[in-house]
Amino acid sequence: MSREQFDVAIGSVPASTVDFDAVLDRERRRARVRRVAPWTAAGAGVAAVAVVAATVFAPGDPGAAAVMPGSSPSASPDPCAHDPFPPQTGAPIPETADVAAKRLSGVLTSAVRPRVAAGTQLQPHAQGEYPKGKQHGPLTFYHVFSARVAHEGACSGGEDYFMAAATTAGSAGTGNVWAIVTRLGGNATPATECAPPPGGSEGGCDRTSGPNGETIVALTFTYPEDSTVNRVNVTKPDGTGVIIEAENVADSAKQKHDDSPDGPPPLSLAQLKAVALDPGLTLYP
Amino acid sequence: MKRPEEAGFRDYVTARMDVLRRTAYLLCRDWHLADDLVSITIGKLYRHWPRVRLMDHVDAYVHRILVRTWLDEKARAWRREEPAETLPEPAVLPSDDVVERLGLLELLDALPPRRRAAVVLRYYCDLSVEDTAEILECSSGTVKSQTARGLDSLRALVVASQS
Repeated sequence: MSREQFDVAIGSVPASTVDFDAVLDRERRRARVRRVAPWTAAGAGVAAVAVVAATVFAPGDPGAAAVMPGSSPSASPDPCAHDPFPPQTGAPIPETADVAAKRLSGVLTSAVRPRVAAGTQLQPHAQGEYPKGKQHGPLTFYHVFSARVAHEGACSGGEDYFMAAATTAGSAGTGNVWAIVTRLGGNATPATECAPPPGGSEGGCDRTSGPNGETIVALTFTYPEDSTVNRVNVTKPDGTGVIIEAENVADSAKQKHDDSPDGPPPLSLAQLKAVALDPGLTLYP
Repeated sequence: MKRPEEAGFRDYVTARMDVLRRTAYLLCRDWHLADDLVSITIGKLYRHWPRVRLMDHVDAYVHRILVRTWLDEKARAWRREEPAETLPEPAVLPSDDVVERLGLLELLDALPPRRRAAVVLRYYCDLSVEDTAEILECSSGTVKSQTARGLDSLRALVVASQS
């Protein structure tokens, strides 16, 4: 296997849409902001670390030496200070993660079950295995959490949201439903604006407002001769974000799957909206 | 960044833009996304260029940014992959007749993301096993076994297409 064989397979390369000068301009601005206002950009991250250090470590704790408040941000650039995801802005949730997950599971199950076709069974979904080796039941929320970790020049982790999933099986075929409930911001925050459908798919999007000031972005897209996805993003005024999706394949529309889609997704966009707007589906009950 | 450093950065990116775009395309199979990934990659590279330019393996570093950006993008937008020492089986193993019908890119697309990345890094970017393992945050043995299995599938396609 050689590079040439790959290049032959790639074929003609379309004109680049990489705007190199725009990238340079953006990075120059970023560098300028960091220099001029360190407390509003990278400095904010350092300040947060300093506060955490002061809070977590007791006086005299040798671990306090690990992060010294006031350490210079320029001494060790923190890649997490310019993480690609915005920071979560929602207030800390009032419940423990376990309590919230259990409550949300009840709300979601009660909202979904009467809306799927009669006789539809809700089964565990592969996405419900978290952490690895622990399988959660259908529509049972679990807390996905990973600390932000700075690698050399990159930042990973930073997950903090609740997720639930189920495979559906009924006379209309198989499908799946999954949902995320999160504080706003972070890497799982719902979309607040419509965007083009994913590459290789065709579909439409609609942005509306809910009865209580929610922002709703509902989209549906279909991969040609393959699966259809209905997805609803809801941003609630209380700081809760909800993403809920239904696909007409048992596992995931983005993966190769054995089952051929033979019906619509188990929930329509209207049904997904109704579920997502359920007042109980909040992190601030 | 000092002016001479920025000039060096521009020269480096300009010289490698084509291969970066092609590599990104092999990973994601979407030219628009590939260009987005490259834009993000060169942005991240710019931030660290004064230090990176002094490295012995600058290309490996850049490919690490690119691959991780792609994996992050996949994890963020759709599936949430968990890094694992043992890479997962492909969802569908192509049979011989499928191999004959599908093109190289389609077969590559059938590989799970990290195995696909391993094959691209080893055989398109010509990175060493060690560099590939470092980028994918797994052992050299894992890279060897995964690329060998990926390569077996790809070789089968090439043989089929040449016969």
